Amino acid sequence: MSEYTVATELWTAFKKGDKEAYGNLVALFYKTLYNYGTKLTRDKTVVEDCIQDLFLELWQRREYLSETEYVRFYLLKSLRRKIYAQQSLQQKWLHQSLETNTEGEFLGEFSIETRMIEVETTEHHLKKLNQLLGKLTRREREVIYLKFYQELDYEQIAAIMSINYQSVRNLIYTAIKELQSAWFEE
Amino acid sequence: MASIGSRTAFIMDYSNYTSEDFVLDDYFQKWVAGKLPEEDTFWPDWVREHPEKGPLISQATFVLKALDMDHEPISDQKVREKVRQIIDNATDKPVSIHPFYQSLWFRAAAAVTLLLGLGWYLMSQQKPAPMLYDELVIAQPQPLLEKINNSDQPLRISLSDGSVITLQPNGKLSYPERFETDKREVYLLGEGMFEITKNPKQPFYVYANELTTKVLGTRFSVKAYANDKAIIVKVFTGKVSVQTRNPPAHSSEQPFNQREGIILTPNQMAVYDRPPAHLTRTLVENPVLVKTTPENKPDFHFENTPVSQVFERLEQGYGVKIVYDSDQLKNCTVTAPFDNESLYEKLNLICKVIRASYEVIDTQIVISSRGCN
Repeated sequence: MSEYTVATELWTAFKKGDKEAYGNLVALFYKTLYNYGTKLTRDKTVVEDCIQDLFLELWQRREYLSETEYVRFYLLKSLRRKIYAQQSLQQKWLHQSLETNTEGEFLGEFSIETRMIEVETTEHHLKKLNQLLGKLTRREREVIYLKFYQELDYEQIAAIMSINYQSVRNLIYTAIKELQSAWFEE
Repeated sequence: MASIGSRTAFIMDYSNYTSEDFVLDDYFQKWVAGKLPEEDTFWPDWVREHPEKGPLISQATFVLKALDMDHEPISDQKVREKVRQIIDNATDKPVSIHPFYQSLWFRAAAAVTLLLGLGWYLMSQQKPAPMLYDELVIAQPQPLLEKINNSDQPLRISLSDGSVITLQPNGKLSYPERFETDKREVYLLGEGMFEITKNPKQPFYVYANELTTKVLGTRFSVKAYANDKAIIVKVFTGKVSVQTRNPPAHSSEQPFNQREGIILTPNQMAVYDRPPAHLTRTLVENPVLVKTTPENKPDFHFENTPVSQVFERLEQGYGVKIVYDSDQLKNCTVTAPFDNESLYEKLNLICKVIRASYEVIDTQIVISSRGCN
């Protein structure tokens, strides 16, 4: 059974008040959420608290939740909103400018040296790659992460990041094209 | 969105695929990431049957490998603990959600971890530290509530002001049902994580054996290891005041009659040795960036930058003081695209470049160099 079927079944059972299904759901997604969360803020306790908060809320609101096939998507999206909401509140509290973008940085770093030894590459490739990856914006990095690590589709990524579908496609295509150019670099 | 595994492979015709198509193909991604079961030999077979596609496959693999990121590790043990905690806390009481929510927002105020070991069993010949916690609690005129964690799970305790304390096993916490109007005082034995709501009019005090920690604002941790006879307070942001406390009269064999106190700023820590009951200040083992927001994340990319500027950037970034002979280092420049290395990793590299060494004295970083030409 794929994760999606499992998650959907757990979701349905948990909505009916099955605490065991709820526990399994938490266990199934904890690492995934932690992985995403730690890319949105450096503060691991914030991530842990937000995940806990998210699941506790889910339990309390379980009867009002709708059925969904896309549990992973739903959870990632809720976590992102929670972490950013908290950050913007913290900023408000710190009397920082309210106009500032409430979206923080995206902390996913590409460190390619160890991984690239598995494929045919030259030092020159690495150098070029590093340059290209270093130039990727936070949005591009988050899109790449959600697409290739969390395996979400374009529509879901667009919904999570509140940008349009076409932008997601463009961001991904541009990034891939760029990186491909590193391959031909001699 | 679900990859349907090898079934897709039979329907799909990959011969017209471009390199991007491969990169974006779920099934291909899984193969490159090593996530396919061993029995699934579709891709190795396909590559063998289509030798002309070799370069395309290599390129797509190259891009996918490059797109992988570093991930913050978390142990299975920790995940299990967290999951258990969530399940235990999941209740149907909707009232509990609100204060918890609030405390989360306002937790920006302070986070304190207090650790007090339970004694140095191996050295049981030695005189044990006095049980100051009990004495402190008994001496309070107002009645206190006491929570003792006899379980093997952390215990979450909510205080009347919205602060939340997670008490580790074998820990004890005493606190009033309602705080006084001018201050909030709690007493701790053992280990606890404190998430304190900010209220400047009502400072928060944590009494842990000989040390009193006062929250002036924001975030810090206190670790009091009784087993190596030291209590440690570390500050991440904001300011914290740490004071030794006069012991109760009947334990006056302890040789501290004077109260010592220090104020700590970010990346500094206080070490209280018990005995000889002495409070010192130094830098934490791993200083973190202070006052970072995404907008003003300090830039540590240096290109032929004079070392004085490099040090200035580090001083601002980490809120530390770096002492050096500017005359001697006036010809030194640094080229390094620093990013997430720790302060000490950065210093090590810089020192290598400028043929210098550094040491931490008190809360300052002192650089000695023979200069550059």
